[in-house]
Amino acid sequence: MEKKLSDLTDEDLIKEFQDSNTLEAYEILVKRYKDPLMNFVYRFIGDRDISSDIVQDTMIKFYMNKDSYRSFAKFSTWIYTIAGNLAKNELKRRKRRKIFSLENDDDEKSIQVADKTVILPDVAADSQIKSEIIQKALSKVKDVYRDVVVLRDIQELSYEEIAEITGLSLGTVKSRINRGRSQLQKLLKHIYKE
Amino acid sequence: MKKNIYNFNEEKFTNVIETLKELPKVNAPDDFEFNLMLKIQNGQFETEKEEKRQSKLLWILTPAALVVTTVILFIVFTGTPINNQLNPIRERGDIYSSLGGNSEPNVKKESYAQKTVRERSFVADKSAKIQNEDNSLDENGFLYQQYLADPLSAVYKSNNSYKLDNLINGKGSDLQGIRGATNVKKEEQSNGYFMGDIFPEKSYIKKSPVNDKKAVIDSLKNLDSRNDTLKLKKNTKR
Repeated sequence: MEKKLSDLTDEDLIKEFQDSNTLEAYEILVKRYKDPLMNFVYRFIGDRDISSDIVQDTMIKFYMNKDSYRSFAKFSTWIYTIAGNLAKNELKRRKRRKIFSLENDDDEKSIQVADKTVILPDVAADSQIKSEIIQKALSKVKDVYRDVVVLRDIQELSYEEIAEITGLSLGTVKSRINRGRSQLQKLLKHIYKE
Repeated sequence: MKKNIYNFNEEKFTNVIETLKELPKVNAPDDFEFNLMLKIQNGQFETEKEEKRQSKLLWILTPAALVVTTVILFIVFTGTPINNQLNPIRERGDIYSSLGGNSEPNVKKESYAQKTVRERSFVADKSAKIQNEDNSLDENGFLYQQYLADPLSAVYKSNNSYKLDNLINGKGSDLQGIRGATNVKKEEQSNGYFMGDIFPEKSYIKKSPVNDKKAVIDSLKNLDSRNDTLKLKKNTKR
């Protein structure tokens, strides 16, 4: 029975979960999407613990509101929408509390200065440091550009899927992605080898 | 082989795209599923933040709603509180009428003129200890101090009076009744003092005697308007 369930598509699994309340189907879906969602939310939020909480909340919402899923949409789109909304709510809360210190202008300057003087090309090749720099730069990108850039370039979703997840038109999605990439390019120009 | 999802328009961002692709994948914690199923089994469906938000809202809205409701009910059932505060005569009149020898069960039904006469009688007893030998200008001040010392002991006697002019001029302590109050002579042993229109404020003592007397005159002159107000209030209550 378990093997049979694991061979089903996402849409079949959630249908099974909706119709028969099969917990195994739910668990399989959780296993499939916990890592991609974690990656997406972390790249968007920048905090591992908070991202974990958000993904947990996403799965709980999925469990609670399984009947609100309609089979004409992709399951991945539906669950990414839930996760994206929760992540945006968290950012709004942060802005209200003003604890998002990476938004400080000094940090932006420090990245550029550090890239010039401290981080030499050979040191920058260190993947961990590079990852931190990229993540910091990504956090500097505007929220409305960042989520679509992450969905496109990190999660590798299509423009149509991103438009469904964000609720934006296709043209808006494309323009926001390009603007986000442009901002990122400016922030990371010092780490690119000539 | 991975499907190339990028078109030629995105070539200028190739370095950014590749940089983002090279980022390591962040995975969920190892105990993610365990914690999740635990929450589901324990029925912890609301997220902590939603709980906090709801509890915060309840914490703020419930007392605020209670305060607003209380204020509205207070205004509706008791009338505007400011009017009562601005008209202490009415309050004190009730207090004074409840004290004294002539305990009338239907105090509210007496006319204002009668009430005025009664209110213009003077305080008895207790004054022997603090009687001032000088019965001229300082007497009202002395009597006013006595009132401040023990306002609840104010008992009206209808036979005492002061001449206001003498009071002001410092010649004596006789008060001619105003507006319907007949001449009532002061008893020699009377140690009462004029009550009714004086507002017992501490700052009142510190003023000069002339100013004190002026205040008394002014308050007496306002009796007409208060009479009208009292009548209006009686009519509205009916």
